[in-house]
Amino acid sequence: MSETIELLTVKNAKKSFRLGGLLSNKEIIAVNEVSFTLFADKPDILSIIGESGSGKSTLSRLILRLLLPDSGTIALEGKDVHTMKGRKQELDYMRRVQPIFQNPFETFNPLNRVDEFLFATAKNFYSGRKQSQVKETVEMALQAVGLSLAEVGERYPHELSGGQLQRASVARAIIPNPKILVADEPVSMVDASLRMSIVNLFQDLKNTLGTSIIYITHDLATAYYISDRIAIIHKGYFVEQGDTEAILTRPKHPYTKLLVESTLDPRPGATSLADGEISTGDEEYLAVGCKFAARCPRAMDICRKVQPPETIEGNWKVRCHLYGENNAS
Amino acid sequence: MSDLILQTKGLRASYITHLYGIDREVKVVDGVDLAIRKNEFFGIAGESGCGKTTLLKLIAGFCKPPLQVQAGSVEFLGLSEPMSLFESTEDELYKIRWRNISYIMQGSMNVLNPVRKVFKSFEDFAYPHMQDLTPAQFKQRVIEHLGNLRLGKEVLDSYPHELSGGMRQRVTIGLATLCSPQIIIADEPTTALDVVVQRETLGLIKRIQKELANTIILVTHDLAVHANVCDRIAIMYAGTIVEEGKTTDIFDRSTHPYTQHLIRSLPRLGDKEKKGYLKGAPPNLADPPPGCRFHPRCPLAVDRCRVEVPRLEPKKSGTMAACFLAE
Repeated sequence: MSETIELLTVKNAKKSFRLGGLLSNKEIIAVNEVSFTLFADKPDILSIIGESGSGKSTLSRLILRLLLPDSGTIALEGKDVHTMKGRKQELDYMRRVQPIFQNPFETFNPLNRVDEFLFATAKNFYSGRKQSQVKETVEMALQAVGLSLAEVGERYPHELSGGQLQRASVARAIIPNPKILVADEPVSMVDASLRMSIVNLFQDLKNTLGTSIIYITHDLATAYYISDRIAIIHKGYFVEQGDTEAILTRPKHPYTKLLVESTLDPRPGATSLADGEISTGDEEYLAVGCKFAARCPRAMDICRKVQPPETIEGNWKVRCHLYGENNAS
Repeated sequence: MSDLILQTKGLRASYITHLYGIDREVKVVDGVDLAIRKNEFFGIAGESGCGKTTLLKLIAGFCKPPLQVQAGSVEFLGLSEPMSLFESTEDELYKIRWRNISYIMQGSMNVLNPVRKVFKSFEDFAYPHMQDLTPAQFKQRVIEHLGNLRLGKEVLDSYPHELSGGMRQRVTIGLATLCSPQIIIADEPTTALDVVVQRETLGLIKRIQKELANTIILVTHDLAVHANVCDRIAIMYAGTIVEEGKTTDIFDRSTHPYTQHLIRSLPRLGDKEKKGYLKGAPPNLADPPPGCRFHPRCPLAVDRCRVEVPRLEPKKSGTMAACFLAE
């Protein structure tokens, strides 16, 4: 592993927000001690799985450098985000890390034609190029997602289907030839018959352009389908991360187990629907110790007092008191 | 025939607008025949914009301009006499709403009034339909009912924003089931919920259906939900029902190419097989294609599909499908 070049390094990143009014000192830590690495010579699709309020969107904003971490480091090609200053370096960062948003209808200005937006993006990133070169760049980006200027050019966002528009927004993101795409729930607003076209597209981009993709979602089924690695985020912590196949077929952390059990199997009657207690995660952020302890079927005394450390076994990392040195079982 | 609770016949409805002197007609529901039985969990699946929410509105008897019914009928068969919803007066409809037909709406946050406590919402929604109870009896009834849904009575004194998403959805389910209606219409009841809460909520809805032995019409775009709760499913595409049948038949032996595609493209844990997708996009309902509405995207389309509209007919597999090629 020593030979590989680190593309994006996130190390113990932490971001907290104050709850309540000016005088309140309650704090929630939306992203806490999160570490992961993407390697330059090995493009990857990393899925980050979390429920609403788990901190996954905060994490995506950190990676996009829309927020800076309170502590810990996020570094792109060895350069810390804190040290980047000025428009040029910002643009440089943006060029290499690009977002794809959830709702394609909100990505595009409804009053502007789709191609205008694509041209504007291309001009921003390649200032000083001729119009014909700009056009060529846009055309190439559109070709990569299976569209063409003839198809989407001169059309307004409402004239395209959700699937086409989401493709166009992927095309927009790949115009500067980024190293990393951060896609936050990119398929949840796309029609069912077209959803897999976007998911397959990510795989193609990884294979043909060598782009790493951070796929943020709550849907385990599509994450299983496309990603090589997976990280489960719960109340700011990565509770489990490693190979997708291994984690989703043999989950270790009780929270991952709960998620896997709750994912509906699309075969008639294959999922057992328990009508149990309602799970609420409201107070979990403020909990001391393991944030999942209140809901965990295997919680022990120590779980309610001490935040579990990360147990590492190869590339499988899990934060749970059930594993690790104290508890060899 | 006596086991039916609701029947639509040749239902055809459009949104008709006159904007800046331009008439526009969007044909959202085009010739829908449904026969929904008593004590049945009936699912309607379809993509966004295929007309499923409009169909639900019509089933519930809500039809206000710009929506207009052009042909067909919806009959509610839960009373001593069959009741045709579009020939009934507003007063007659008011009587059956909530008592006989109720609605679990999408997005519980939007249904509950954010500036009124939950109990006030119960008074607003349900009490007018339960005038035979005194206010004290009504409150007692609500508390018992919520207890059955595993919600404590402190919920009644909370504002909606103080509850979690799952609890709010339970409150709206509580609202819809309070009068033990014969039909409950659920429009995407779990779409905005997290996976864990989604499974719990579906479990709850399934249990309610068993306890009340009534009919639930569940609409969602997520076939994985249908697979786990529904007895029968209808697949909608561009305003028409393309296939209908028992859940197991639809999943294992569907005959319509659209249904087959939808089922084949469902991602599943433990399945890495490459999933395909359909080319093209759902048609614009203001200008639907002639013939079968699916033909421009159908990989198997033949000339006949382009001119003639297929009817929903029983097929060998046990399902009803609207396709010339299915046997």
